[in-house]
Amino acid sequence: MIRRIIYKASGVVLLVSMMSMFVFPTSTHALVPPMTHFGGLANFFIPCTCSANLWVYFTPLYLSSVPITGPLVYTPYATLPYPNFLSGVPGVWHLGGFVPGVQACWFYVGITCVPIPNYGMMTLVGTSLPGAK
Amino acid sequence: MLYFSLMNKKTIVLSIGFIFVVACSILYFIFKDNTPFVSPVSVNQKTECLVFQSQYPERDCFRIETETASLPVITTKTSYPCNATNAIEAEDCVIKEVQKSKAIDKCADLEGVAKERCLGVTTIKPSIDTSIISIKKPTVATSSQDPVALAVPLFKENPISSVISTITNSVDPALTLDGFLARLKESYPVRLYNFSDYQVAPGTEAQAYGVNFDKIDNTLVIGGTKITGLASADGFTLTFKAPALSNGTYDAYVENKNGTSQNSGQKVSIVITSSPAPRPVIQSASPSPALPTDSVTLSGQNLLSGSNLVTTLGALSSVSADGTSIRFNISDLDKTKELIKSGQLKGQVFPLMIYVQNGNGVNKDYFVLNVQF
Repeated sequence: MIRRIIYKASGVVLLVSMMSMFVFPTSTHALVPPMTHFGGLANFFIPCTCSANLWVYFTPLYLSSVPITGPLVYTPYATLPYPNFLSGVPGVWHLGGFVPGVQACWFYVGITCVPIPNYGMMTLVGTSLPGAK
Repeated sequence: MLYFSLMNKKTIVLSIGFIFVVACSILYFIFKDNTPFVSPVSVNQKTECLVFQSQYPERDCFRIETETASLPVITTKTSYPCNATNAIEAEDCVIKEVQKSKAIDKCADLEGVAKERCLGVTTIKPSIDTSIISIKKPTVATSSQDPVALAVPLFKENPISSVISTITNSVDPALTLDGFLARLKESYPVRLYNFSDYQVAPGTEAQAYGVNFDKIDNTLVIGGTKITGLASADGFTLTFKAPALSNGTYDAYVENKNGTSQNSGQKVSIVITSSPAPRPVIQSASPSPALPTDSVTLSGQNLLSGSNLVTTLGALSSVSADGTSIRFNISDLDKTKELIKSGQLKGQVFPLMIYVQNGNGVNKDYFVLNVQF
């Protein structure tokens, strides 16, 4: 008898709990296109000496569920930093938003500046601490 | 253990599931986002009444402000000082929910519901006549400059539909594309990056590339000679005719109302000559793909001896070349050793972008050599 009551009560609570997840959904904070999300592990960076920003190379880089590799640009002031404020530091995971297709990294080569291609410019970014997995 | 021993397997599984769900629920309530948000209102009909209410009356002040499009925006900025113009005190409601009804007589009911849930209520009733907009304040001492009174004219200047559409999309402006572009423009004074050709003949048309060029009036200075009144439709390009200067290399910069691109540490130069030489061109590389330990030969044109190599893994100066080929070791590049040591790119193909710079200029398009780490 006790088993049966526990069994039924558990079933009801489980069902109600699962339904409550749909009744009280969490809010989302999606970025407005053309801004989109990214996440990745920074490998190294190049200071873009003409445009005063950083070209950061990520492996892996998640622009969707499929991991790729590639660079994004971090621009001080224009890119909003979030904790732990370690943008561009090798071995640190990054998560944020970026605007695709903005070629904003220019490197000085002695007589002129040349563009260093990238996927886009970060609009906001937060980081892990070094060594985080 | 005695409890579990009394139950069969099915009950144990259900109990574990129950515990899991309870744990998830607890975690949800601990970590759930309490940030106020505005429910979307896709269509605003002027016959609807709208009541804004909040579950978070304890929040700090918010404000009514005018954005670039001259539309009033209600934002929730917790750091906004309560004694500032247009501030609404902490006891007022932060916008949390929007309820709407086409029945005018329901407005009072909605307002009543809102009053139960927060201390202050903002009501927009179905009329363009903004005189009936009321922002009711709770027990807050009124100041000589009533912030609500200051805020109401913003509504008066705009139809309610504009107000609602703006409120519906009200997010932190700093997180919008416009906010980002505004910061970007502030962070970039006017800059000159390069020219369409490094060597140009006097009188020939060329382009200068940079950022924050004025749409109407820019001055390009080449070797002290000013070319004034240059327009830039996109803000990134200036088209000009090379000045009639004697053959030589000249520093260049751009001036406009945003400032000057003149930078003694990074001089952008252009060669004025009656016989312009073509830029370097890289056509192929061998081996390709290459290993980090490989010695690579680049083949192309105008690869002069003493050229500098600039790549995404570092730079090399005065590299030997014979005009059609140039040779270098990938391991000589600064970042190569670091990446091999860290192992972060192990197994990955890295696109090494290469520029060659010499007296003829820089190759126009970067060359990509895939390096297998």
